[in-house]
Parts: sequence; C-alpha cells; structure tokens
Amino acid sequence: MVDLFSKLKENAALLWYEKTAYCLLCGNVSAEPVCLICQQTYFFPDLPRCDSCGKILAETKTRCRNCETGKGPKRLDKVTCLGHYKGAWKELVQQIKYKGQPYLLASLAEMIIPWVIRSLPPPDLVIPVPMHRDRLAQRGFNQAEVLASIISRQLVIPYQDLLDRIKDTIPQTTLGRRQRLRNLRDAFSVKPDYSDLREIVWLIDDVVTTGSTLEECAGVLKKNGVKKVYAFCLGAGKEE
Amino acid sequence: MLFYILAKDNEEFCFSPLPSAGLILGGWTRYLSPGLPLEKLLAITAELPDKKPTVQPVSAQPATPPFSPVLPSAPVINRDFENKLAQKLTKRMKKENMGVREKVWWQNISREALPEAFNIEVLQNETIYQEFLRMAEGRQLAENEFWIVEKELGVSTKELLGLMQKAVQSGNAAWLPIFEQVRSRYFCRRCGSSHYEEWPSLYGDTYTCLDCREIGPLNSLQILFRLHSVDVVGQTQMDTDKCEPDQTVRNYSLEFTFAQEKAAGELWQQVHRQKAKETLLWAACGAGKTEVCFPLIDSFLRQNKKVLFAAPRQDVVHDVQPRLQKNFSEYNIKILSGALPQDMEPSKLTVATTHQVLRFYQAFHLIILDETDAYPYEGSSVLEYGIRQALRPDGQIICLTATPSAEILSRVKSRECTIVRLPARHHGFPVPVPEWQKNRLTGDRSVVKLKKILLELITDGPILVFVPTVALVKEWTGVLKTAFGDLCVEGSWSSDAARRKKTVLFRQGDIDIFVCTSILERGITIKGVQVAVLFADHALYDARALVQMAGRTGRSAECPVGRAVFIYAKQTRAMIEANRWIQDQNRLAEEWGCLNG
Repeated sequence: MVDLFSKLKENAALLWYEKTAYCLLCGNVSAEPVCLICQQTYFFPDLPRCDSCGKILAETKTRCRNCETGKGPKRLDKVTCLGHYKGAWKELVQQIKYKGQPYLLASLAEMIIPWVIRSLPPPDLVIPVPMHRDRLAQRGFNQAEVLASIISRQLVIPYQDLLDRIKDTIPQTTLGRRQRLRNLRDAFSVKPDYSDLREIVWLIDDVVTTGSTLEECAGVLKKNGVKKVYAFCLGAGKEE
Repeated sequence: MLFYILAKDNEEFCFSPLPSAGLILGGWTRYLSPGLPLEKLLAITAELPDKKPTVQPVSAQPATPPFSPVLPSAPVINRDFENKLAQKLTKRMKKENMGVREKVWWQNISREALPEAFNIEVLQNETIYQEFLRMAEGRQLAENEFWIVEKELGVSTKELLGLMQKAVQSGNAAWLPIFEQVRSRYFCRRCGSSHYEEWPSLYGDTYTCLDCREIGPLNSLQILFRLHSVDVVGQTQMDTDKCEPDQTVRNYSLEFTFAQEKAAGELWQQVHRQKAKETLLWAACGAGKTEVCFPLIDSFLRQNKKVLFAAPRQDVVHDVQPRLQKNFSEYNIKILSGALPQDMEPSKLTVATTHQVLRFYQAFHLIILDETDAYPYEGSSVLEYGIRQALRPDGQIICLTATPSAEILSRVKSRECTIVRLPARHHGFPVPVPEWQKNRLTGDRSVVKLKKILLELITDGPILVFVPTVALVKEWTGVLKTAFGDLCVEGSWSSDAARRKKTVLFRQGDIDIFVCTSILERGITIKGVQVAVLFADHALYDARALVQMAGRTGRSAECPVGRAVFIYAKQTRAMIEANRWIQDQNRLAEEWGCLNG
C-alpha cells in the first residue's frame, strides 16, 4: 500500500515538475547526461583525433607521433574516440565494464551518436569487438556489443556480430605495447556463416590504447573482403 | 560468478563456484556443465516438481530471517533427478534465450585433471582457514570485495573460493544470489531495496541495485557470501552483576556529572536488566551522550561481545573514533568510512558510517546509533535495513540524538522503544537559546548589519556561519571575504574536495569565519565557536536542524557559554519550535538540579 502510494506520488509529481537530471561524471545538475564543463574536460570536442589509433591530438594534424613513425595500427581506415580515458570518464567506463552497469551506456547515447556521425563516414554494418566466451560467461555481457547495438538501433544501421574471439588472451591492460601485439595474434576470426564480405563497417570497442585489438580485428575483416574498417571507442589516450 | 551443481555418488547435490574444491572437501565427484549464475541455478532447481526441499542438517546454523535463506546445500535426490536437472537446465537456457551455447552434461571431477589449478595445501591448512573465519565473521562479502580478503590472506581467488566453500559446507556460511524474488518483485539482499535497473545479459534479464551502488554496485549475476557470527554467548558470558557500571574499572577521559551518571545508570538498567531491544537516549546538544555510553560499551566488550558505533556522517565517525580509542586503548578500534580504504581486520569495537554497516550481517550484540535523525539515515529505509541486518537476533540498539524524530517518539509512546533523558550539558551551563535578528540579506545595508553582528560574535571566538545551499556557501564566502578583509574566511560543503582539510584548519583555529551547509551541523565540538544561521527561515531548515546548529555553541568546559544568532526575513514555525525545544531541555535540567552555570 505504501509502495503504491509512493508510486502514485512519484507519477503525480511528474505531471507538474520536470525530473532533475544530473551529470554522470560530476553529479552536478545538468540537462545533458554529461554537463558542459565535463564535456570540455574529458571530450575535447574541438580537438582532432589520430586517424590511425583514435588518440586525442593537441594540434591540428591527422596522426599522433607514434603513428607518424609507423608504430601504430595500419589496417584501420579511421578511428575516433569520444573522450580522454582518464579521471571521471575512465571511472564511468570502468563502472560500465567491470561493475555490471551496462545500462549506463543507454544514457550516453545522446552524446555518442552525434559524435560518431560527425567523425566517421556512413557504414553498411556495425560490428562489436568480440569477447572470449569464457570471459563473456563470467561477466555476463560484452560492453562493446551493448554499445554497438545502441548505435545500430539509434541510427538504423544493421548490426552483425560476425567476429569470434577464438583465443582467450591475457587482458591487454596488463601488457606493454609489444606484448599486446603478440598476445592478440590469431585471436580473432570471422564466424563460419559469414564470408565474402564487401561492406564498409564500423568496428566498436570500449577503450583503445595502442589500437592492437582494433588492428587485429580489422586485419581479419579485410582478409575476408571488407572494404573499409572505421572504428569508434568511448575512450582513448591524449597526446600532450 | 558462475556456479555449478555438484553431485556425489550417493546422490547428494550442492552448489559451488569451484568443482575441484568440492572433490577435495567433500568427495563431490561430478558436476553439471556449463556453470550459470547462482540465481539461475536456484530457479531451475526450485521449479522441479519432485524436488525435495531437504537441506542437510547442519549444526550451529543460525536461524535465518525471511530475507536470508540459506541455500539448499545438499538436497538428497535420486539418479533420475540428475537427468531431469540436465533437461531442465537445457530447457531453461532456451526459454530465457541465454547466449550460452555449450552442451549441458555431467562431467567427472578427478584429482588428476582438476579443472582449476590451485594449491590444495591452502585448503587443508587449518591456520589459514581459521584466519579467514576470523576476518569474515559477521560479514557479507560481495564478489567485488573478495580481492581484499585475498590480499590480506595472501591467497589466490580460487584458493579463497575453496576456503569459502569449506565454510559453506561446514554450515557456517552461505552463498546467496544478490536479489531475492518475493512474488513479482526483486529485493537486494545487501540493502533490502527493490529499486533496481534492469538490463539484458547473456543470461536473460539482469538487475543492478541502485540503492547500495555507493559501496560498490551489485547485480543479479553476482553473489553474496555470508559468514555467520560464532556464538560467543554461553562461552564467555559474564554474570551481569559482575559488570555493573563502575567508573573505577577504567579511567574515562571525563568525570561523570550527576546527570550523566543518572543517564548511564538508567541506560544500564534498560539494556542489562530490562533487556530492552531499543533504547532512545535523548540528550541536550553537547551533553556528552557518547561518553554516557562508555560503561555500557565496556560491559559488552568485557563479555567478549561485539559493539558497533554507527553514525550517518563521516565527520561524526572521524570525530568519535579518537575519543573511543582514548578510553578503550586496549582495543584496536576499527573505523569504516567511505574516506578510508577497506580492510578486513576484525575488531570487537567498530566505528562506521551507516553506509558501511551494509557490509555486515548479524554481527553485533550492541549497536549505538548516533544522530539517528540526521541525513542520510533519517528517512532511508536502506540504511535502517542495514542497521537491523547488522544486529544479531539477540542484539540491542541504543539510539542517540538531541533532536528525536516524530517517528521514534511515537515508538517510545507505544513502548516499542524505551527512553532515557540527559537534559543537561556536562559543564552544567544551559544550552544557549538562539537570538533572532531580522535581516533580509539583500543589498549593501543588510551586509553592513550582518557585519555588525558578526563583529560582536568574533570577539568571543571563531564563527560558524550556516547557509542552506551550496550556491549560498560560495556566494556568502565571497561576500564575507570582502567584508572581513583582515580575517580568514573559508567555505565548504559536502562534495567539496578540500572539506576535511578545511574542517581541520577550522578546528585548529586557523579559520576565523567558516561558511558551510549542514555538514557541520552535528557531532562536532569546536572550542569557543559562535553560530550564525543565515536564512534561518529557509524551508530546508526544520526545528531539529536549527536546534543542532545552535547546539554547536558553548560545548566545551573551557568555553561553556556562547551565542547563536538566527538571521531571518520572516519568522517561521521551525524557529519558534527550535527555541521552545531548547528552553524545555534547559527547564528539565534545572528541575533535575543539574544547572550550575
């Protein structure tokens, strides 16, 4: 009875008042899921991204120092990230990924969609970076799948889960650059039902650091006929 | 975390996250693959029509309240049931459209090919096991806290799971899914809330609790590990007469006044003689109510019982812990608050914020709940649930407040809660009755008027200026900085990163005027402090908040008098009530003959 009353009260309040929304990063009152101050602090909407690895660049150029010297990914046609993977933005991504709160991604859709449309050419398919089945079984969800499905649904672009992670690799976060590349060798494959792909795709992941995961996936996709691979991530590093 | 159904050759079954530990611990020889979240496995076994809800009898298993069912650790069933179970699992996985593609089948667990590698010696080492029991006793550990135990015990995740399984099989502990379904609703076992976010996972509909997220979010794919308290009653219980409140037993940091001694004695009577389940200690602000509880705490500790001192706010917890440590120096007093890293060191006397109490289950014999009417505890069913859950079934609660809520007073009226009064401050001076100053606080003239009042107050000591909102803290800190160029003026609010640092500076006397929201409204004693409440007629201020703010003055014996000024535009009911409340307390103190100031 008390519950029913409180629900009625809550719904009645909605008729008269607008629900106060708060910034997901700083907790201050904000009309958008991320307030303008946090957008400036973490998203740097005016700064370019490195085309090869998605890193946020401090000046107007197309490649970061690493990628200019040929150390970065080479098979990706363009990569973009929404924000700088640090501070409150990093904490939020980790809450989503490690603390079982993938539903938070839905609230971020209105930040993600305009950015991804602005940054990448239109695709035929949206593909998530897959997770190994053992890790998926433990976590219960793949944050990249949730993100890709949100993008696909909002933009009405077909979603296809066509990659498989056939090797249970050591988490990339625990490894250095060279080890990361070695760790992912032959880790991905295209599922048997899909072959002779001729599409342009958006490859979706949560975080990009060196770009090795995206690079490995892009290699497998291109080997199977995909024309262009563009990638989107929530977080990446920033070149100072 | 994924769980498996384990089977013995004699057709016994149980649930475990680690099939290999089952083989080592109890001769479980088969397990049903694939693993699923415990919640799903329980739903599958509960659905079987011929399932016998028999639970292996376990000794010393405490009675479980409706919210904490112990898992059926070993229902006895026949072989056919094994096949039915496998069929049911397959059907359920299809019906719920689970993304698990593995074949359902019974696999053998053999010593030679253990599915998980870990050091068997850890499981067999009694010293490590006892240390683990000591650490986790009375706790409910969520999956995201296991790493702390692993670190402190120096074991791996799988070794810890093995130790946990050992405790479950001995009947001292239970694995529990985070959510419990009651009819069509789901309740979080840690905080009792049914406020959750639903999302689709690999295993179908999944829920994340929204009310206890602050201490680490939990979802329905995860589990809670509860280790019941070892019952100390009977082993070390002393005769009540042998632990009468006797100040000669230990040297407290203060001499009890007549009023305090009377209150301590009454409290003793209620708890030890009347066995009152809940007692309200209604004391005047600055009456020394925490200290009045010392003899009671001492008696419980001497009986080897566990005591919790809980308060809704971090500031209060950090203020009380040193006072307790000073008086109970032989105990290592554990402090738990969001400001400190978590550890598992057990303690007989724990001081914690009410949020941290959610980590305990039937752990304490005595809970002293300070500032019961303060935010965020007041009106929070989750925090109240946490306190009740942390109390042992035979435990007792003492609620301390200077401003009891209508709800607790009605429980006193209906005799569900007993009451003890402490109307006088320890130094014998009355609580200063607030003065009222009309000032709209708009325009330059009002600032001049305010400055005049503050200049009067500053001659007696530093000033605590209360304002109702964070925006007003920022605005009035600026205004007062301009008005008092030669004085140090600072402001702080709950989410201010420098809050603790500024509070310490104010305590040390390095800040002259400290503007703040209700953060310093309670539980803080600062020598010689004077109080000004700006916008005292604000809707946010009820009578209790005003009494608390005014009660910051004249608390210490060195400066027993002080002034509290309410700056207002329009007189409110809360202001009248606050003054009346303070005057009533002072009158009662006078009647008791406790005033000498």
